[in-house]
Amino acid sequence: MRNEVSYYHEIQNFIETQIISNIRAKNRSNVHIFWGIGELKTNLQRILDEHPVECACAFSFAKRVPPLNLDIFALITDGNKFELLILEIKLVKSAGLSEWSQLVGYCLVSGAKYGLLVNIDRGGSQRLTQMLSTEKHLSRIITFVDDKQRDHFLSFMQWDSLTQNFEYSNLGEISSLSDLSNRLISEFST
Amino acid sequence: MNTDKAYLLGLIIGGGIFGNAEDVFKIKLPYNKWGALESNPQRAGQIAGDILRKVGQMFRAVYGLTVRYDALLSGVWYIYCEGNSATIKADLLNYGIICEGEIRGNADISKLVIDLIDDNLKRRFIAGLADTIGSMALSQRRFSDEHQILSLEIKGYNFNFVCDLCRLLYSVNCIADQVNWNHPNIHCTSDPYYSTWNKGFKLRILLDQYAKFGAFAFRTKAESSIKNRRLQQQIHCAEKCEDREISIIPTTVHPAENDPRLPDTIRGGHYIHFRHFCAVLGCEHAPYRKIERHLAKIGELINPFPILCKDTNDKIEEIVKSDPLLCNRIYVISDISVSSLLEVMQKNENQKIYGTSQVCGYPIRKVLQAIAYIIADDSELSGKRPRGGYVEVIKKHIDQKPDLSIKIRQPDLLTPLILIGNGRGALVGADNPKVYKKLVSRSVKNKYKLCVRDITEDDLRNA
Repeated sequence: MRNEVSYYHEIQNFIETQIISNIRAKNRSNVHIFWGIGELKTNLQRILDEHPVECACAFSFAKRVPPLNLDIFALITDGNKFELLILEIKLVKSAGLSEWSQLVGYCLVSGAKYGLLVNIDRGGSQRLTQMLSTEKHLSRIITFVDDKQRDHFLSFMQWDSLTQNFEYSNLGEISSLSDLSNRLISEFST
Repeated sequence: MNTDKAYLLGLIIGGGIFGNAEDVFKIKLPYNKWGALESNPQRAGQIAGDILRKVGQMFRAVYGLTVRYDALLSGVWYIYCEGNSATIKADLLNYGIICEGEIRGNADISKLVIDLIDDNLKRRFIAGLADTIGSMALSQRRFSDEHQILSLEIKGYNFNFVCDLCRLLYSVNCIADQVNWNHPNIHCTSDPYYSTWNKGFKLRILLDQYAKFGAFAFRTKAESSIKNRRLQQQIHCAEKCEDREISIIPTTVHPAENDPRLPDTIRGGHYIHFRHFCAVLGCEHAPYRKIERHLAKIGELINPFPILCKDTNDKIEEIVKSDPLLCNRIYVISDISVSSLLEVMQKNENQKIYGTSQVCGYPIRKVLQAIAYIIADDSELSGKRPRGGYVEVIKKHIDQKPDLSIKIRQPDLLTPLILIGNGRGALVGADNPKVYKKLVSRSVKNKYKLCVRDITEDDLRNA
């Protein structure tokens, strides 16, 4: 019987492959994705140490971000700007509000712009489905920190471990991985 | 292009059908028995789930379309995509694909393939095609369960589409094990009077190879792939087209080689092997040297007459009457002992009989196949094929009647031998390599394309 952590690599790998393909398809090649599993601050520091040139833009962020135990995160950067994607991976019968709240919390504390709640081979609870369908502000969150606006775009998706592919739910602000890629592409072209 | 669009475009090109309605188009999933509700209700339920959860959610996310489905008793499924399809049509048009009728019948995917700039995008597109037209019915195996196959099944006459698709598959290491082109030289190799040759294209890939390098989005497809591969004892790798040896058996020249539905590049040509098509279509992976080597002995590889034609007595008589070359012959009619013919084959199965040299004459194996068809009881035939093998049928009848004989009409020139009896008849063409070679020329437009002219009485007389 596999545990949740054993799926991390394949999910991370799939997302990276899709984002990289989509970025290449838009004739952009200078975007890098660096992954961390577990604690955010320590892993960010490790990434910066390993890739100081590409990740220089995230240096001050890495210093001020609080320690936070995450499942997976990705630092996505073109060398000038960076964005953080947080993946909250679950292997539960149905992902519910508590799992969603966890993702929201991580994104707000870390300042990550993008967050995906991923349940492996299962969907979301009826309540989560209903709330994300009707309450758009639960997946499109705006906060003000030191008078600066921060946007957070969150979504729920299902990982199909048999086909090694995502099953979209259209629940949340990010409708698909190509949508996420497009948002990142527009981020790095400005 | 993006990874999700690549998959959806694969689905649409595999099965998309556009009508006049602006706000709906459908995708046909020709699953037949594999996906039929009656034969496998559990799988049918899973297919419905795949359509709604995978395809439906992706169409909604990417194009804002909603999806519903319809399952026919035959196992054909239709996905109806409803909503404003202007964006999807524009995307297809951008690649030169016009949304009219059944897309794969006329689609040119050469522009689209250029936009599949990496292996992942290619795999996503291929997954869309495999989910629609990829068949893993157990009958797709090669010879035995040991080689399981994924067969991409394509109707129509779009040779370039199949060629482009095959190259795309090759580029991600899903090398075709075999391509059954929709052509009489593939589907009808020995009987030029068999008219229902157009059975469609089949692009066949070893399932192991596809499982390693390709993808499915449908769980039902992925599960079938795992189940079928479990029937194998070993894992099999595909050989590159350039490296693979080709063995060629003679094929009859079929009148449908000139069928107007065939594209110009292909029409009017005779093809000796499925890889010969690849050469004529200009695929960079075609084994040009190997083809050329075989073309050097072309007289042994073609036959302007039926190699073996089996039918009713009346139909055979009708064929003979309608062809001056056959009906103007003088025939010697002999009653030949079947056991003596069987002995000839047992001594040398490549023996020619009634010939003019060792290489000219009627191949004994074909003569015996014709005899088996003629003498068989109705219950011993499956269609026109003797059940359990032709030799077994012949042996059984000889056991019952040791002096069993058959009437054979032998012509004065090497036109087909005529065998009649039991309400059935057969024509067996002779091997005659020197004469047949003279009938073949190369197309001026394409040096690999062979043009075969009709054989005349003079050709046979002056041999």
